[in-house]
Amino acid sequence: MLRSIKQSNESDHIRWFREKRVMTIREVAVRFFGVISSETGHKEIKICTDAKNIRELVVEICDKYNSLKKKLLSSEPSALNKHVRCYVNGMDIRLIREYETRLMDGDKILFLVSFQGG
Amino acid sequence: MSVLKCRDCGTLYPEAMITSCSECYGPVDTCIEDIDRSVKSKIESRYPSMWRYLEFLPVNNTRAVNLNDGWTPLLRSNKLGKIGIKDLYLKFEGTNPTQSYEDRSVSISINKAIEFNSTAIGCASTHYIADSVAAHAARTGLKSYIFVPDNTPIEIIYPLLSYGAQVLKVYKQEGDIDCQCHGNDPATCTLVTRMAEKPELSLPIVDLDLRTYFNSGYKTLSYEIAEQLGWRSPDNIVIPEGSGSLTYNMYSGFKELYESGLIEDLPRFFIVQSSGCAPIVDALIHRKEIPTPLRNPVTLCENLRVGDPADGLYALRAIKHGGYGIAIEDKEGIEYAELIAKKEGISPDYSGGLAVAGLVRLCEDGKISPTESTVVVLPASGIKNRDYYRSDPDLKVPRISSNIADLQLYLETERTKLARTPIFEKPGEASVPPAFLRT
Ligand SMILES: [Zn+2]
Ligand SMILES: [Zn+2]
Repeated sequence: MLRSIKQSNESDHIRWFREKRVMTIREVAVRFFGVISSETGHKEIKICTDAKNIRELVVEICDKYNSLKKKLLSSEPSALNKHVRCYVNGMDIRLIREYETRLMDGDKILFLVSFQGG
Repeated sequence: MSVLKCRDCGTLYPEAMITSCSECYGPVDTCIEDIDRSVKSKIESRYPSMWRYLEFLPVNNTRAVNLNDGWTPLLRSNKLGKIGIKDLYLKFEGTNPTQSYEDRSVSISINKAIEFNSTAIGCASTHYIADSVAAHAARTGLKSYIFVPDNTPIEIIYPLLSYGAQVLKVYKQEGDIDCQCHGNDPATCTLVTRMAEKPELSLPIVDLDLRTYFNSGYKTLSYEIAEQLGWRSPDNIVIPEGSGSLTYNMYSGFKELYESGLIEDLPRFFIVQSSGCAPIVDALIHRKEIPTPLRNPVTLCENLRVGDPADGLYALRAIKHGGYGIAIEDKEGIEYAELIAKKEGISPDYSGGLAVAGLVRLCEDGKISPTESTVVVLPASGIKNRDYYRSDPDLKVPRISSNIADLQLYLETERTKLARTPIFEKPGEASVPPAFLRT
């Protein structure tokens, strides 16, 4: 450990920052369901992201798929289209912490358009 | 009639098995074209069933196979004395082929499935929709697959098997979506959601893949009520509500009649939810546009047990035009369901009792005036309350032998008791309300 610091020739401060940053990179699986997948061209993608929560992840996804942006987001700032449901590991985010729901490494995220019947 | 329209942005689509607008992801509805008042005489000349409203129905086959669904009685209520509403009508859906209002929607859905060349139909339900799908599939010759939770008791499964339905129990596995929608079973719900991505299975789900057409069945309740009142709209409609779909679609039905010139006014819509599951009423009270989903909703009214009401926001829009919503305890709903059976001779399911209990409260609160004409929707027959009959430990039935003296003695004591407490009313007069109404 000590040796590696010396070898890297970085200041302690930068090293700390870099390690912290590495720790916050998470790999999550994002599944787009039904009509949403026709916008992304993929049904499932794996993203390495430093997004801390669903809000940041949605922004990142919208940057990646520009045509999805106007459909996935509502006119209100940082809110999903009211017909889009988001699940984290099977849990509806509206029943946990909504957009502040924290992301963890290995999370499975699902976006689908609500289409339940009578 | 073949055009579909997005409920939110108005984008039009040609007829297809689509459920969501590809522009805004909003729900898609069927719409009517070029209907005017001349349609009235055509309708009136046809056999009395919901299929007499052919011009309003989204079917191309004029010889649709059905079970003469609908045309249920609109009964004037004479004896619900304490309520004191002069013009009260009960729309009793219990005379449908499988004793519930869902026959209307299933009947249209299955005929659309046939138009789309399906040979099978599916549903995820253990209740009204399941019974109806099994029956209509048998009638039309389609194979039906009914997906039920793993712990579904045989008493619920057996009637479905008797129609020739294939029932499949779906067991839980990791990765299931934790769903609070209708049915409230993550495994079955995840399965049918995944099926939506596999049209090649050729197994459309009656209220999901075909939901656009399914919804239009609810509109026929409005057409019937208007015709049965002599082509006019009542002042108020009271609906027991779970998903919000019935209210929104009945509202659309009246709007279609209004736009076609068949009626001159629109009714006000009032919804009643069980207090154990009232996300729509909660949104109304807290002025939210969209109901917040409710985890693990609790109510004996199985048809109302919807924690995440899909059409909640649209039901809220329908009741905004002068209507209101209220939550009522199940216990009160059950008492009123029994009161309706005793006083009117029709036995509604608990959700119907809940609606009448809600109406009483709405009158007390001044939201509905007793002088206005009001229709209450009773969605199903009381024989649908399967669970309750099994679990009521207080039910006591007197026993006698074949000895006629036994019967004589019983009747004598019974009649002396009745003479002392005059609880029978004379027709047309206000009754002494039963104890639970007086408090
Ligand atoms: Zn749209
Ligand atoms: Zn569900």
